[in-house]
Amino acid sequence: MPDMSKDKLLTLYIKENQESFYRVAYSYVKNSDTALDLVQDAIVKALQKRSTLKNEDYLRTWFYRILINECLMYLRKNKKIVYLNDLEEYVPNDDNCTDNQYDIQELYNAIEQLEPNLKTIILLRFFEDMKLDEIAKVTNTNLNTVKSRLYKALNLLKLKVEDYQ
Amino acid sequence: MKNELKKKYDSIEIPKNLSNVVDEAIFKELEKPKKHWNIPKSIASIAAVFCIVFITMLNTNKVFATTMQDVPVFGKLCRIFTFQEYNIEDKTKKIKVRLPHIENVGNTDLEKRINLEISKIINEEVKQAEIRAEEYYDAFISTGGKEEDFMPIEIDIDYEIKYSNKKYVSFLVSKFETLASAYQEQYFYNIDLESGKVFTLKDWFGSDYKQIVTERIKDQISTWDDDNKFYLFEDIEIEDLITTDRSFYINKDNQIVVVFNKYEIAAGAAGILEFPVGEIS
Repeated sequence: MPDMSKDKLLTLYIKENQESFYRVAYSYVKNSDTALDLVQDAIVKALQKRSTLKNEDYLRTWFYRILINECLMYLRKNKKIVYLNDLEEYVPNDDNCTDNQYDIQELYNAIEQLEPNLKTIILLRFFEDMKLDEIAKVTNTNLNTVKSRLYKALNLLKLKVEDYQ
Repeated sequence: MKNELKKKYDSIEIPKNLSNVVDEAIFKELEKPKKHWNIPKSIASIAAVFCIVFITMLNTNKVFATTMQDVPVFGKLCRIFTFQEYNIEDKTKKIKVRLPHIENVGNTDLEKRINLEISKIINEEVKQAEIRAEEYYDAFISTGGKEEDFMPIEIDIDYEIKYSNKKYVSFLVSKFETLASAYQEQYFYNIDLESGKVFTLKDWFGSDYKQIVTERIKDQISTWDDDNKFYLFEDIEIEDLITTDRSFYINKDNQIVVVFNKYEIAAGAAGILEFPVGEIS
């Protein structure tokens, strides 16, 4: 395919999905200006490396991979953020919840506290509606790793695996 | 419950300038001019040259000045020349600088001030770029990026003489950076050689300069088609932006050209906007 139409395709895709990109970035960094910078950096990098996109069917996973790399790089660079392995204090006790349902806000907060690798899986699976094999492409891992991370995250969030797979 | 969570996520507020930022990135990357680098390999020697330039600039430029080639001469005396040209290149960055100096404008204080200002601007830009490049590279490697995949940050600092005759000289210093979140920046200098002063729009158009210049810009905008007008910000009063600090230059056709940076009056995708507003005689 000639480069011109590839550029157009990319431009169109980026413009149409910019809000999703922003939400993903924001979910990692929790700061509007930083999220904007990351989205911008991801776009520039994607366009610079557009020759590496061989098959346009993979445009979405290809772009998300770049975007998420940017976010994870940023988090590494700014190590101030502390991730909690133990989420007990963020996830309410079962006793307080009717029908074993968390308050949505609290569950949402708990997701935000997940370490980046686990958060990525939850973000892509539930918020960006990606299939597990697509997530494997985005995160450059294999399907088994994605599954085990998903189970681990669900476990930490005290959610039933069968409801959320 | 999954849906409720998703709703929560979808309610993350989208900043108003997101589309500007996105357009800016696309525009910059797909339409930036291609650049060519011819840079010597030895980093050490470049660093050494760089230090020497630093120190020399603070002292005197006479030695350099006499050895310079390609020196345009304006009027009897005034001239702008490449005081020093250098490249800094390593795995994190490619920096290319052409540093101009102005001489004999007929006002020593003004000359000193301008040369010092240009040196300061350039030094600061280079310093910031080096810090940014280093941080960016470290982050890239520490997150598992391969060294050979890293795209060095590219900085190009240059100047351009827009106009010169016995009466006036007009030139600009520009910085172009390829990494996102930094844009092309331009610093304009217009000097009236007869009075030995920097001249402004007010000096040329008189006390009504704001109205005159605004009207001429608006006249031109009114001839644009809707595709171009689309980018203009609606809540900007151009007249408020016409001040004695307004960026402008004189072009080869003797026209005074007012310049608006990206985002000043229009979305970033529109780029830098220029409007001829009058002729000098």
